[in-house]
Amino acid sequence: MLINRKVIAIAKKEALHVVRDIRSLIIALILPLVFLFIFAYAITLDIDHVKLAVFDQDRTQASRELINAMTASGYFDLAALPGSGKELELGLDMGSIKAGLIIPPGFSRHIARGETNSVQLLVDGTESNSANITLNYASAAIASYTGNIVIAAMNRKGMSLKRDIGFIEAGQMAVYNPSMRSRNFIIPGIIAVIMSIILAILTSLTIVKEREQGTLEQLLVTPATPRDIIIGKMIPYWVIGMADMLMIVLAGTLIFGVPLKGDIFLLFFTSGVFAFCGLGIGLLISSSAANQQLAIQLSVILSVLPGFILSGFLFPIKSMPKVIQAVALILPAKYFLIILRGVFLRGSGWIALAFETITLFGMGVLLVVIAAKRFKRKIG
Amino acid sequence: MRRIIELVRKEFIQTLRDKRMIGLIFVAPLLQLIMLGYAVTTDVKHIALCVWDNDRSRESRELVSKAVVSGYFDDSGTVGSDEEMERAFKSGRSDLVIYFPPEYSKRIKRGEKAKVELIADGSDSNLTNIAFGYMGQIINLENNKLQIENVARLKAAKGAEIKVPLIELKPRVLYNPEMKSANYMIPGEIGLILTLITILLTSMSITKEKESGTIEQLIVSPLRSSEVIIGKTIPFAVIGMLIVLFIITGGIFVFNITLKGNIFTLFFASFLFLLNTLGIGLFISTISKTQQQAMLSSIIFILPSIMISGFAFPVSNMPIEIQWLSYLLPLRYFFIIIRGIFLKGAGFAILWPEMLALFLLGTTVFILAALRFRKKLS
Repeated sequence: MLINRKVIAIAKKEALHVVRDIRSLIIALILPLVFLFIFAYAITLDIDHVKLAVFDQDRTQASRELINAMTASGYFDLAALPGSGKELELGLDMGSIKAGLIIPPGFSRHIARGETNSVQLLVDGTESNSANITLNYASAAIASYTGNIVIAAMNRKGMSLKRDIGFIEAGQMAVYNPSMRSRNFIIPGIIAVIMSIILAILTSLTIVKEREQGTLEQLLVTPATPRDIIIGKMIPYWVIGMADMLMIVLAGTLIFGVPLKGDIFLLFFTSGVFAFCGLGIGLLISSSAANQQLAIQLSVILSVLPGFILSGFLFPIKSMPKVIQAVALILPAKYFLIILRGVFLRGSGWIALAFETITLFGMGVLLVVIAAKRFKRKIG
Repeated sequence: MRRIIELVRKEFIQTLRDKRMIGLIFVAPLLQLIMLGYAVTTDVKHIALCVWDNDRSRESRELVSKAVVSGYFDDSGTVGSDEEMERAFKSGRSDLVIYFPPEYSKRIKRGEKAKVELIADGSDSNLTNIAFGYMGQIINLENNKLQIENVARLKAAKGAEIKVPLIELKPRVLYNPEMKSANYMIPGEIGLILTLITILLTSMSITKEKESGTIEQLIVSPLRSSEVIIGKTIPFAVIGMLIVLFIITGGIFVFNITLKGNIFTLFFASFLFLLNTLGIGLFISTISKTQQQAMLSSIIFILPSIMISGFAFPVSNMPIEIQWLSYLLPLRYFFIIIRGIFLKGAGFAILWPEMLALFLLGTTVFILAALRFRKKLS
């Protein structure tokens, strides 16, 4: 039998440890809320209001219209009107502006004469994604401004033209997240990240701690077998992991309005399985590490960072090098994230997510069995 | 002075006695750097593009091939109906669908406005934003070409004496001209790793002495409490500086990022930053009874502070209250300094406000922690 009286006794003892260290417990339960708060309020992946400085050497109606065309998109905020190119570059150096537009002298004269003009845009490229999107918006603004003056020029010559000659207009639609709120994309992922972090670090300490304090021997002389100890030790942490999950689901849907379109049982089932993966990794670390500091650094390397970085939570896996993608393949968090986003946003069900669910289940079983074997050998 | 040196020696012996600890201190940062360096890329390539072409014209095919040639999009086949598109999204075959309406090429040839629809999965809003952005740029380029063609055609029809103005945008990307996210991320990762390792190491190892009761032995020794604090933190400062050296060399040689600024400025700033992390580690150890508490307290400080000091997301995009909060976080200043030195080649003249902030924050935290530690000792 998997769960017997001895297992329950060990679980009770472990739960007592957890409850007695009330601060650790509170942190374990508050961390998800801190994450939710930060990702819901502080971090938007949506980029707008880029601070733009314009060095206008022309100072005419035409140059002002060009500046208007840039800011009208709502993407740029006019932050400064520096008096020289040097001043503009200093603003970029100091980071007070992210882009600078230089309008050459004689800009309006060239337009009036129908000559080709060039304006220069300096972009702070340190953060490459923002830079890319900045370039896109700037070129779109300039293109539409050019379109307008072309039409105006043509019409002055007596060709009655409609607006937008020969222009391709791109409509945009995001199917599963029509409002394109990054919140909807991030919050389901927090479940995977928090569970990875909390479960791995709490369980990675549990056995090392007892070994450091010498209480492990006392456990071993009790009638409980190593198997009972492992299972008993896992239960309280599994409960904490599930409580974290439940809090994120409730706060995410009720407070932050993240849609939960799919099957809630699938969500709970896969979360339960994922919790076993996290426990397995933690126990493996715990039975291998010599002291608590080692255990912590190992769980940071093996669980916290991968959960954060390699799982696809923030950074798309498909853009990573092939080797890293292969590493991500053996990461339970990667599969759990696909399931989470599928269930929350796409409303995917058991069949659509069968592969990920089965893989996760297999990994959970494997990790727990290996951890138990290793533990037995260590103490046997 | 001699007593401090003796204590420092004892600390070094204690920390480095465990061979695994040495491996940990020096291998872990490199491992983390390699993992982060390769994995943390916000560059998006290979966006799976499916085509829904109801026009089947040379013009529509041309636009698609331009997208594929750009390197950002992979040709992922065609779809022909809403159901097929939905299946493509759900199975992950497609990130973005471009839809051409039947009259697309005809309208272009007539010089009218033609519409295309970009339809994305959207469950990954980041990827979707970027996919829209790239496709937008490709369409902008195409529009520029069309504009020139249209003007030429109209000129030809009306006679060549008409001159029509055009404006060309000459973009210049500063600091990171290839727009590689690694150039932005790797300096940031140095800050991240330094924070993780030094805070955890300091807070846990001091708490460990409390747990095992050896701290009392220090108290009954003739050492003054200020000497204990200095002696206990110097080894971590040294280890921290070695880690800085390690990951900077790793970043430069493994990831080929160029250090435009001065390396000594970088070390000086790292030292100021370490003052902060050691102070925070010391402070956490004064409020923790067990190593587990020390570790959890460190984590709940470190992870949020990484997120809101601009590691991956620009602080300037955050709500103003969060920006105020970030002024209290040493990482905020360190990220600006380290990226300024690496990418912009900035020196003291530009970075002195951030350095001053690091110095003031660091000494404040350190002194507060030391006072608390002294009170706890006596």
